[in-house]
Amino acid sequence: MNANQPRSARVASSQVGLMLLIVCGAFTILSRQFLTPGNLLNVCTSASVVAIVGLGMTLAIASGNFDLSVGSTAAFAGCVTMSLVQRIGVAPAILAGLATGASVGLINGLIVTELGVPAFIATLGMLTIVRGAALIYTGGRDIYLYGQTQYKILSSGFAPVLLALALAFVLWFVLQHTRFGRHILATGSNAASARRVGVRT
Amino acid sequence: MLALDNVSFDILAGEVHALVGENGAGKSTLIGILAGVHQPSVGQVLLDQKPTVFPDPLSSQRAGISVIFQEFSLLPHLSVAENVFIGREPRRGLMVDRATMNRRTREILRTLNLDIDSATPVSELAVSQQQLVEIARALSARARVIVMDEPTAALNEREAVRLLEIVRSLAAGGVSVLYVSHRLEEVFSIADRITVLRDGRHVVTERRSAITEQQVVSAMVGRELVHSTRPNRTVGPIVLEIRDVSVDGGLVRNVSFSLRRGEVLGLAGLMGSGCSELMEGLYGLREITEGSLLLEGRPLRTAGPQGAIRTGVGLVPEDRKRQSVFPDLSVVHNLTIANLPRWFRRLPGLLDLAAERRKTLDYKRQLNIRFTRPDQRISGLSGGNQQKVVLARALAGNCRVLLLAEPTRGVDVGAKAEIYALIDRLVQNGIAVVLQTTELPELLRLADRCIVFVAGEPRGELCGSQITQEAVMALATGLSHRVTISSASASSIQ
Repeated sequence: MNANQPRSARVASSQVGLMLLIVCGAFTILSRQFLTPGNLLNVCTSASVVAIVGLGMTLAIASGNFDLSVGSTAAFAGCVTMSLVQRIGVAPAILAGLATGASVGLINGLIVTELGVPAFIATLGMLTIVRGAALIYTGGRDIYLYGQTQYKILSSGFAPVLLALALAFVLWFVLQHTRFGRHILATGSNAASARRVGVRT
Repeated sequence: MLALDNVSFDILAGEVHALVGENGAGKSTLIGILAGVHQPSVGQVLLDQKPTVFPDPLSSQRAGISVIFQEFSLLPHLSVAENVFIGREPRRGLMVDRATMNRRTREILRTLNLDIDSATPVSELAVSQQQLVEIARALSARARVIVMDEPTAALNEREAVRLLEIVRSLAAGGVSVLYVSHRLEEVFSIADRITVLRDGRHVVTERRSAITEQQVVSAMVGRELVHSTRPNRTVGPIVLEIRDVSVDGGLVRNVSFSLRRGEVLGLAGLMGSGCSELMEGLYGLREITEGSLLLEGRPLRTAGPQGAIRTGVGLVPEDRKRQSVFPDLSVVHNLTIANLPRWFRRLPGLLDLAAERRKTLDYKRQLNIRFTRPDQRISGLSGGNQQKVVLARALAGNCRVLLLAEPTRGVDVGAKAEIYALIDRLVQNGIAVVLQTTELPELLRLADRCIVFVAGEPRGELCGSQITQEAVMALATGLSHRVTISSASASSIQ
């Protein structure tokens, strides 16, 4: 823990840790199934989706912005991938999903930077639009996967957890070790100062 | 740890009492006690001879104490009237009585000679007007004691003069003012009595007429400060040459000068004279619409700060808090941000963190910057040390021309002297400096030559011993006719 963080930040993160311990303790007492390897892996697997989306959000917040549409975007990208796995194979389908998410992000970014719409409003609108897009795309029906063991291995058990950890490392590395990352942190901390040190904000 | 140790003094009714001390002397803690933010562990506040405790800000306000912090506490999206009466809105039934609120606000604004509509959102006001709104709020609360923390820090000279007049008239009306400031000139022009704090201790309280500026400074720093003067400098060849430059289509016009290695050129003028715009033009923040800029004989790229930095121009911006510091980044990150490619590894685009750290420690030694660890947040450093980090940032590139805008604004006396000595050393090592400052003593202390601007145009040039407060002010206020004096005296050129 960084001793130079403001006291409030240190207190807040230690409180979060404490809460986690209390919750885990309570569940351990209440259910015999909680503290089993299988269940813990399950918790980690489902948390990894939130973690990965949160990493993207961290980048937006670090630059001083905000993205409310990440949830819908993740869902829509998921729908695109799932629907294409059967038809075009696992790797191309994943790429298509990533491209979908990236396009939504790009459009958000352009609306905020080029049109000057506040991120809160732009991404709130995008939340609804993307949610609607997902509904139209799937026709409101569930998507079922038959076979596709490759995809199932990638999307359950350890794989998503490892992926989240790897992405967290990549994000940390980018923010600390590259000019791009430093410029993002600088812009988020003080945009006027950032312009004066040559950051293209 | 004690931030304040055994401090006692009194403030009389209708008195302007100045509180001075270096950063960390305990002024803020003392203000905090009066505001009800901090609690004294020992001792008490006597209000009208009665011991009073302020467990929270509200009780302090109810007792008639109004604190105007350096960081204003106005709500930017609310109107002037709403800000003035916040928490004390006149009501009619359950509704806020807007008519009364606006009328009473207008009355108060009139006593302050502030010509603004009480319905204007505060965010649309200039900083100086916002400050007067803070004062209006204090007046509307019928404050008997008004505490002002560095009230002129964000004001220009004319606004500051006006604020001092208002402070005087408040005191004449029986309000007591505790005036906290770094600027001794101001303190001496306004205070009835002066109290000096140092390292949390009470050093002296004295009537203004019974103490000299020099004595106050010694009391603040605890030693006699050698009143340093501008050294004789040996200047080298021309580094920067500017011909017939206009900035932003005429905001600044017809500027020509040449700057030599080892020379400090001052730009002086009242607010709105165009000096800061010219500085921003030289740094690529504004467009040079006419004329030419040559750095060591080659055209200077002015397309944005990136170009300026790359060609060897560094800037220390005029407003540290708003324009230069990244408060939640570390000292290292603040120091290297303008020149990251200097710390790239051979692998493209990746930074060498260890090298950055070494460079930071290097500058820590060179510039005598006080911090404990390079990865400490910069916001934990004193103003003077933050400014030194910003200076190091400007120097960290291949800096040949250093643009200094108000380099010691909001910095205490000790650090100020240190920064002047640093600038002297840099200049001696061959850096050329353009200095923009509204503090005349600073101009006199540093500049070898100075160009005085009026309304976007150079009005005259002074050099060496011709630079006096009177001469600069005469030019800046238009009292003196246009003068042009040869660019440098023969003896100072190599």
